[in-house]
Amino acid sequence: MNHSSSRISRIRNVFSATEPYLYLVPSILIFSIFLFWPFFKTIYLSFYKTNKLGQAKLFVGIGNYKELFQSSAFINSLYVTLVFVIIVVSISMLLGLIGAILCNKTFPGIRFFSTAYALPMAIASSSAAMIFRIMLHPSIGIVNKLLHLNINWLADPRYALVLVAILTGWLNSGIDFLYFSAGLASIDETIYERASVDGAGPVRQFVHLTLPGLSPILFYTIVVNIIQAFQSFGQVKILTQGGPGDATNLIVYSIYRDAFFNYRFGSAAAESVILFVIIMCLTLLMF
Amino acid sequence: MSTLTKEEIDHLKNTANAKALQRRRLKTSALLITNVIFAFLILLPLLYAVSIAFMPSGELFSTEMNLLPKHPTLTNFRDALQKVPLFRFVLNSFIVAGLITIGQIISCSLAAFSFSFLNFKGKEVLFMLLMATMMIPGEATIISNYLTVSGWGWLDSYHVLIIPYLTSAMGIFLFRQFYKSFPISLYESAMIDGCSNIRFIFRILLPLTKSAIGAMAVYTFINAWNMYMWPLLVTGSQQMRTVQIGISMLNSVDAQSMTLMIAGVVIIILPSISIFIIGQKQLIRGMFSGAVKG
Amino acid sequence: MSEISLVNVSKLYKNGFYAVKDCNVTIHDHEFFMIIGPSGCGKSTTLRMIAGLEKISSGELYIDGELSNMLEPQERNLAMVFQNYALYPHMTVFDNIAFSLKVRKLPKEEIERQVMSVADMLGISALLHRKPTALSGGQRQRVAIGSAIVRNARAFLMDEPLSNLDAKLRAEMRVELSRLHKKLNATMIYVTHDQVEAMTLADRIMVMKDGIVQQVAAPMELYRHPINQFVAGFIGSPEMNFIPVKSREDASGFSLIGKNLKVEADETIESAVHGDSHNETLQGNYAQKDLILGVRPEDFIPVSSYQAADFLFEPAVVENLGNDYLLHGYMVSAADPFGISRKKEKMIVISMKRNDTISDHDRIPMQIVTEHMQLFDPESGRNLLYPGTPADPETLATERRQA
Repeated sequence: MNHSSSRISRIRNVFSATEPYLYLVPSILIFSIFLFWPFFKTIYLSFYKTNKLGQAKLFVGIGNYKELFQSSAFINSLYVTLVFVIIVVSISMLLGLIGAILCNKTFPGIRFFSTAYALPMAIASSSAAMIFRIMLHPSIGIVNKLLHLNINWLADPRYALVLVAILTGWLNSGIDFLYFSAGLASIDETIYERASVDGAGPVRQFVHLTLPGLSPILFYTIVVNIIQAFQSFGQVKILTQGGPGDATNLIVYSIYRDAFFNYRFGSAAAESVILFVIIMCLTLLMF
Repeated sequence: MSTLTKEEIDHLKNTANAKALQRRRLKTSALLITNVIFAFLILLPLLYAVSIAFMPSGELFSTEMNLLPKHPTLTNFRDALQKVPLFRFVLNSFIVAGLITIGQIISCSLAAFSFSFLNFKGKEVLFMLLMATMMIPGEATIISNYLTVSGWGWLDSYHVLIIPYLTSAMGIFLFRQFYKSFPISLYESAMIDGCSNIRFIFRILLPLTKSAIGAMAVYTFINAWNMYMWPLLVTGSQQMRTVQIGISMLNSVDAQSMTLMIAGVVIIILPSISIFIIGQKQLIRGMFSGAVKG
Repeated sequence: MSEISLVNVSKLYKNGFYAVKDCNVTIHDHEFFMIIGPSGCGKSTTLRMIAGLEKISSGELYIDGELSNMLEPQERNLAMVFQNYALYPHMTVFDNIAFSLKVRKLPKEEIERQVMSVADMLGISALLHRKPTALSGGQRQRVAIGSAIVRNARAFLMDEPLSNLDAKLRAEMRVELSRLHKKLNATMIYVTHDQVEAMTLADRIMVMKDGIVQQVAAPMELYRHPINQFVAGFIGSPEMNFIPVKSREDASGFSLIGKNLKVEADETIESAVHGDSHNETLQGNYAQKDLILGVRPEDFIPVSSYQAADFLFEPAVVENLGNDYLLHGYMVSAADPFGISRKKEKMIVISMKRNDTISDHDRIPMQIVTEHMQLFDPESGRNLLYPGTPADPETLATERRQA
C-alpha cells in the first residue's frame, strides 16, 4: 500500500517535471524533421558532389562554393537579386506608406480604402504573375495599349527584371500598409495638437513628427521586406523562368533550376547556404 | 477700438464660417479623390483580371482599347472548369490550408503556453532556438526536404503537403506575446482552483485569445493557400495539385485561351480574398499586439 | 499679452449633446484664470476651443478684441501644455523647447539664448541633450512648461498639467507655477479638476458642471459666497456639510430648525427666506419650505454649555491630520442631551485645531458661525444668501464686444 502510493507520487513527480516539454513536442518534432535536420543535411550536401538522386558521392570541401564564386552565372544571379531586392523594397514600402498616410485620418469610406491597400497580401504570387502576363502581353496587353507602345516587355532583358520587381513590390505592399498603419497609429495624437498650437503647418508636421515617428517601424519593415523579397519564386517561375538570358535568374530560382533541372544538388545546396547566411546577417541586423 | 454692431459680427462670422467650411470640404474631397486614384491603381490588376474573365476571348484579341467587356460572358469560367479540375484543386487547397491552419494553432498555442506559464530547464535556450528558425529561409531546406520525403515515398499525397507546415516560429512568437499580456495570477488562481494545465489552455486561454487565433488563422490560411514552391515539387498528379500549381496548367495552354486562364485565376483568388476581407479586422488587431514591437 | 473673451460659446456634438453651453467669460490680461469642474463638465473642451483644437459650434471667441473663431491653431499665437505633456518623443529636450521657435524661423543664436534662459528658469539645463523617455515625470512636466513659455505667446493654456504627477511633486510644481506666473506676468488659462490647485493658484476661477458655467469669481469669493449648492460642495475640502432645515418664527425670534438642530438666524437670513432679498432672481417665500443649510467644517465652534449650543456633536471617527483634526460624527439635539443619536443619519464633518480633549464618547456642545452659513433651495440648489445678481447675458455680451 505504502509502496504503491510512493510509486504513484514518483510517477506524478516525473510527469510534472516533463510536462512542460510535452507541450513543445509537436513543434519541436516538426522543426527537427523538416527544418533542423534538412538544414544540416543541406550544409552537408554543400560539401559534396551528388548523383542524380541527390546522394552525396564525392567530398569536395568548399569546392562547390569555390565554383560558385568563380562562375559568372552565380555572380550575375547575386547581382540580379540585389537589384531586384532594392526595387522591390522601394516600391512596396512606398506604396504601403502612401496608403497608410492616405488612411491616417478618418473620412467617409476609409474601411473600403484600407482593405484595398492591404489586399495585395492576400494574393498568391502565381495568380498575380498570370494577371501581369496578360497585362504585359505585347499585342493584347493593357500596358502597351495604354502607352501606345509595342514592346515585348518580358522578353526584353532591360525590362523583365524591373517588371517582375514591380509585381513583387505590389504583392508585398499590402503587409507594408498594415505595418505603416500600425506605426502611424502608435504616434501620440496630442503631439500633433501641440505642434499646431506651436505654429507648425501640415508639411512641417509630416516631416518633423510623422516621419521620425515611423522610424522604429521603418527599420523593422525594411528588414522584413528585404528578407521577403529574397525569397520570391513563383512570379519568376511563371513570368520569365529566369530569362531572358539570365536577366531574372534570382538566387532562389537558380537554386531551383540547379537542383531540379540540372540535378546538381550539391551546388544548389551551397547556394542555399549562401542565401541563408545573407538572410541571417540581415535578421541579426534587425535586433 | 471701434464698436461692432451685431450685424457686422454676424456678417464677419458668416464669411469666416463659409471660408472655413469651404477649406474643410476642399481638404476632405482632395483626400477622397487621392484615395480613389490610389486605390484604383492598387486594385488595377485585380479589376483588370475580373474584366478579362468576363470577356469573350475574341474581344480580347483586338487592337482597340478594351478595358471592359462589351459582351460579358460566363463561358470563360465554364471552359476553365472543364479544362482542368479546378474544383478538385480548390478542394485540395482547402483541405491543405485548413489542416495546416488548425495544426499550427494547436501546436503553437501549446508551445507558447509552456513558454509563457511554465518553468523548466533550458526554457530560454529552447525558445531562442525556435525563434532562430525564422532566419532559415524555406529555400535553404527545400532540397533536403524534397530528398527526404521522396525517400519515404511520401510524394504526391496530402500529408506531404501538410505535415511539414504544422508549426511555425512566427505563430509561437505571436501567441507567446499575447499570453505575456495576461497576468500570471490568472494562471495561478486557476491552479489553486484545481484546474489542470490542459483544461486551463482549452477553457481559459484559448477563449481569451480569440483575436490572436483569428489573426493567426487568417495569416496562416492565406499563406498556405498561396504556397507555391513546395507543392510544385512534391505533387505530380492532377488529383493532388493545389490551386496555385493547378492554375499554372492553364498557363501552359495556348495563348488563345488567356481569358479562360484569367477566369481560373479569378476563381482561385476569390477564397483567399474573401477570407482576408472577413478576417482583416482580426488580423490587424492580433498581428500588431506583439509582432511589430518584437 | 492679451485679453480673451468668450461670448455665448457652445460646443454641440452631432448627437445633440452640448459639451459646453453658452459660455460667457472674459479672461483679463495677466490673469491666472482657472477652469474647474468634475470630469466631463466641458472644461477641457472650453480650453481646446480657445486653442483652436476644437471647432466652436456657436458663439464668438475674441482674442485681443479680434474675432478668432475660424483661425487655425497655428494662427492664434497661443501656447499650450497638455495633460500627457505631448513631448516629441524623438527630439531632445533642447529641440522640444526650441521647436516652436524654429517654426518661426528665429536666428539660431536667438533660439539658443531663449532655450537656455527658459531651461535655467526651470532648472532643466542639465537635461537639454536627453530624450523625453530618459526623463522622470516631473522633469517631463518642466520640459512641457518650458516648451510653452519659451515663446512670447499671447496666453498660456494648460490642460490639467499636474494631474500625472504624484502628490509631493504636484505641491512642488504648484509653487513653481505660481512663481512663473508672477515672473512672466502672462495670461494663463488653466484647466484642472483639483480644487486645491485652483484655490492656491488662481486669480479667478470658473466652475463648470455639465457644460454650463456655474460661477466665475475669485477663490475666496467662491469659497464664501458660492452661487449654488454644487459650487459650495465642489469648492473646499473636506466638503461643506449640508443639513436639511426649515425656518421657524416664534417668541424667541427667527430660527432655522433641523432634526437635531436649532440655529438663531439674523436679519439677512430672515429677509432672504421671506423673499425680500435684494437678489431679484431669488425672490419668493421660503418660509414654509424645506431648505438646506450649508456649513463648512471649520465654521463650528465648541462651546462650554448646553444652553449656548445649537446642537451636540457625537464624534464617531477622528482623523488626525497632525495640525488639525477632522471629526466625523452625528448631531444630537441640545434640548435632549441624553437622547439616542440617530446613527442612520449622514455624518457631518467638523475640523478643529489641536483639540486634545476630544474623546469618542463625548457629546460636544457646538455652535455654528452664523455669518458663514449658506442656505440653499433643495430643488434648484440656488443659494438664498448669494449677494450678487447674475448679470443678463446679452448686456454682458455687448460689453465684451466693445472691449
